[in-house]
Amino acid sequence: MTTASPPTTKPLTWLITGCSSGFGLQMARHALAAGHRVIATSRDPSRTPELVSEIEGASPAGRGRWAALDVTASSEAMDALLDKLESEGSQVDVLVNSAGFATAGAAEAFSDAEVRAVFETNFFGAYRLMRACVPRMRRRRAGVVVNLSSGSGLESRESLGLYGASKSALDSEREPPGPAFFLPFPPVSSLFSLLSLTHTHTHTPVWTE
Amino acid sequence: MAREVAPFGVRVLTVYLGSFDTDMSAHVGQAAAGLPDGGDAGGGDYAGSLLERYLGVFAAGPGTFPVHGDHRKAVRAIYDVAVGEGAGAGRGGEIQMVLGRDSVRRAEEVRERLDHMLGVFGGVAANVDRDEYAGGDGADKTTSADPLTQLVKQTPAHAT
Repeated sequence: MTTASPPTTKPLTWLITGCSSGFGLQMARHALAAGHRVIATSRDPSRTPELVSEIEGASPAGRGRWAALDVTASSEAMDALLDKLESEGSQVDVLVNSAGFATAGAAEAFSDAEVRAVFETNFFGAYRLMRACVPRMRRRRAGVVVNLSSGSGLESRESLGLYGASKSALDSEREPPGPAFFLPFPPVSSLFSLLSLTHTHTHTPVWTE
Repeated sequence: MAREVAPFGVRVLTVYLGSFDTDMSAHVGQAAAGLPDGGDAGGGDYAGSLLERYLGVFAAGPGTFPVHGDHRKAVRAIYDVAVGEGAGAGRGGEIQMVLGRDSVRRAEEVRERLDHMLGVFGGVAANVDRDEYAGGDGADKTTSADPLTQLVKQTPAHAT
């Protein structure tokens, strides 16, 4: 487990996706150990009851919570979760987009279903949560969104072109240089190519890998 | 988005992670089509290629290749940068972060690739302006009547 560090910031409320394993789980543990409030989420909490108990066992009661959240579900569920928090006098200070997965294959041969599935979680899911949280953060004039990307989002090796594209798409959505226009991976970018005149883009389209 | 919401105190931090000791790599799916043109059964254009070898590594699972990153250490670093403590002290404005030696190497490769591209095409790239803007001295001939360019001029390269 992590070493608790005494918080020099006031306790923040963290909303974290993908907490059933890996980075999401460890972020939940670390933020709790540091004294913050955590809403850990996963698609199906019933698959990891021991983790749910661990997070919800943090004291004082209520500091650690676990909620079912499928990032591929509609925005309504996300807004409902945030509305519920705000009705309790709370709000999300830090959003961590950790849920994600990879499908490997030849870049020329992914099926529509495979492409949609990877993008649905890695891009649409993360973006939907940002769309739900960021306006509220903006109105409060405070908030942090942490998107866990990959070296593949910068440039993917052979077999991970689809995964890299999905990460790159989310990275581009918040790309710093130039206006913050959407630049999904080609060929959908044709509509946006006019807008991308001044947008310097460092990410590799899926089929140059 | 980072630039749009930064004036309102909202920060979007992207973390470029290398390979770490989670079970993500154990759950990398394989595309149903396999290697095109029967590569799996022998023959086919991709037989013996890096693509085939990477697919084989993912199919065999993480036990077959070393993973250097400790995700607990990485989470500590991400936490620090998110809250501006420890490794994140004084770095509260950073919007891009790299973690893992392999990810550092990847970023360096991208930089090298960009430098190469600029070296090869920088001359051609600068000589495709419309005639009224083309000038041997490369001077900026934009006017205040060009709103998009004026917007771009307001955007610093690295500031949030």
